[in-house]
Amino acid sequence: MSHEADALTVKTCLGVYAALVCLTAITVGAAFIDMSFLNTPVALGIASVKALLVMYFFMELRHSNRLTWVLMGSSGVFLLIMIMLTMSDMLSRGWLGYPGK
Amino acid sequence: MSLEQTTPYVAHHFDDADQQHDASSLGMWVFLVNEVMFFGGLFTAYVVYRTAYPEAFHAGSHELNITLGFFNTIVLLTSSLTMALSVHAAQVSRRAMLVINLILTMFLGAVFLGVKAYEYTHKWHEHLIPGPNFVFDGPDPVHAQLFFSLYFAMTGLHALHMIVGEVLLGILVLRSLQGMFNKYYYTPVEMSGLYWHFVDLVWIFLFPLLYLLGRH
Repeated sequence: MSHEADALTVKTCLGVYAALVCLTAITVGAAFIDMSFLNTPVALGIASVKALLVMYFFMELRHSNRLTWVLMGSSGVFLLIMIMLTMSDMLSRGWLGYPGK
Repeated sequence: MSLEQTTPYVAHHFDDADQQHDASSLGMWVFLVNEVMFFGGLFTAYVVYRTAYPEAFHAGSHELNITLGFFNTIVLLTSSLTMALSVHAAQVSRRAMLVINLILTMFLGAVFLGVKAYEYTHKWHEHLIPGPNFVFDGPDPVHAQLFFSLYFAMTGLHALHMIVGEVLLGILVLRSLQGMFNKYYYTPVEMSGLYWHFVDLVWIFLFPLLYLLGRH
């Protein structure tokens, strides 16, 4: 491997790290601003960007094959299914006005 | 990669080094998807109870030390950087750089666990451990216990993963010192790296959900 490619990789790592630290600072700052119901979506949005940066660069998803991408995506899909089905039950309880609902 | 250079590292049931590497990588990702679901159960519990008792979660979150949480986030992100640099060092066969970065990663992991231990001790003294001695003067103290149960379960499971990661890193340091990794074979470094970054990912979500909730 050439020295140029080598230096570039370290540079990429440092760049991603700088972005992650900046996003952490932004998410802490944003937490102190009252955005009513938007605070949690904003915090989770920033966390998701950080997660994607870590996965894409540090976990080498950019050099991984499609099967790995599908697997990684499936974890998100199954997590969403678990949370959405559970919440659809939790939130709709009491909608029907008889005991045992 | 020439055949002579990689052959000593390829197990007999693989065609070549690339196939062996892809199999390891895919297996590790399957394990990580399983880990996502493992933590996912706790995240689901968090969503359910936070929706049911928002005030209790709001007040409970105020008891957590945001400065220590922020510090630990930076420590963990830095450890991910040194882990990524370790993998890079292995890829270019730089043994000293590999060992130094692995030890740095271990050190940062230990700092994280130390801060976590300090936070837990503080919660113990403040009577914030759910149970008969739980004392909480905010609104809805009964359900604030749910917040603290989830706080200890989620950060505890995360800390357990960190301890496993520290053991993995320790093994990697020893094997690196023996010169077992070079640009032709560094799969264990890469796979432990995937695990370490995953543990970092979990914390990236735990930090805003536990520490930053209801600061405004």
